[in-house]
Amino acid sequence: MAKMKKLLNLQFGNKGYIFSLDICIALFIIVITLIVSLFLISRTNEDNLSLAQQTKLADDIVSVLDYNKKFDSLNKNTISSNINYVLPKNYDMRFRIECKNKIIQNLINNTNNFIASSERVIVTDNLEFCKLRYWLWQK
Amino acid sequence: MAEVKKGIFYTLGFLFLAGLILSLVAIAYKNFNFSQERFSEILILDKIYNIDSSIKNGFKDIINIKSGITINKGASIIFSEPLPNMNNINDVLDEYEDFLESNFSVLVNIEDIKTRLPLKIKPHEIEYFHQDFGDNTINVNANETNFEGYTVSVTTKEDLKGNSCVASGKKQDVYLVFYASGKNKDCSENGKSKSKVDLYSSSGQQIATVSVTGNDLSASSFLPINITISIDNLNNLGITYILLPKEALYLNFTEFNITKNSTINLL
Repeated sequence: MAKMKKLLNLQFGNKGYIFSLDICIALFIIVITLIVSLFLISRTNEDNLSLAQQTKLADDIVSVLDYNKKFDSLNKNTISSNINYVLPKNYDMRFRIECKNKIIQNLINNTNNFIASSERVIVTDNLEFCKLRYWLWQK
Repeated sequence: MAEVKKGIFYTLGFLFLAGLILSLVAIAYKNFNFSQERFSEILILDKIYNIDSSIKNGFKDIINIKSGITINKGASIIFSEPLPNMNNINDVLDEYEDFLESNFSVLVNIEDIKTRLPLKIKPHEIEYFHQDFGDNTINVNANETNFEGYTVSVTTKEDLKGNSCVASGKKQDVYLVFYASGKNKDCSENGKSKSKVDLYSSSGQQIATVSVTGNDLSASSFLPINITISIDNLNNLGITYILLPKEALYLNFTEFNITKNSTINLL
């Protein structure tokens, strides 16, 4: 037995095993922490920017149409076709315009994607004041 | 003993390395939270910018449609309007103000627009404004002599005589040229050497008076007229804008506790 023990301990006893175990644990912790770090950094860099970009896209589309008086008709079909004219193909958009005596709306489809939404004032050439709400999402 | 020391150094080294990486993770996590907050702020600021720009666009439309003031922009800037200006723009502005406050969680202060309707020429810093919108006086204030002078044209339904335009005073920093068109006759004072012109009807009733002091102009009417004021040959200082100065429109976005003054760009 003593001979066997001596054989297993070799020249440096069982320190080698502990050393190897230490390295494995250390590597494991390092790898885990690196992965967590990269994951958090990538989330920070990518997600927010793409969502902000989507919101910006919705605002830009509506601003361009508003400056060109494309909402003044207060006609659902005309406004929808104007939006589709400038909307990128991989996006979908809906709106609701609330005026004093009139509501024009294009209802929201079901989607699981992030929906960017915002609102703005519309003043028509007939001096009708309306509240425009809009929603944009990726198809 | 030497092996024990090595082991301690190894453990300390590893702990240091692990601590370093954990710190990195903590920094990354903090950075993530920080960027989340910034992202929320960006979205809020975007939303405010969007509502603010649409509100300004609405004011621009109302002023263009309802003020009765026509503006032409070129080498000279020309303003035309009836005097007194009886367009009831203030009713529409009040209605718009109520609409905004009841629909957008925003408090609006437009007193300056309703009283003076100041139109500013940038970058020349010339201001065209009313004493009290709806009254019979228009003023133009210019800080510098960065234009040649004023050409004022008046149209009236009264009868005029050839000598209905009565000029007086000495030439100021900029010239004054005056034309009047009446029911039957016209008159003018285009010598560019006087600072004041009074316009009388054929029966001797005063219709209007226009005067220049330094670089500034003042025009008043005693009977209804249409007046065109041309600020002639502005110095080329780059692109010229006509806008309502930012002091004229004050917005308080109560939902976000953000207040701002906004410039309304007209032309």
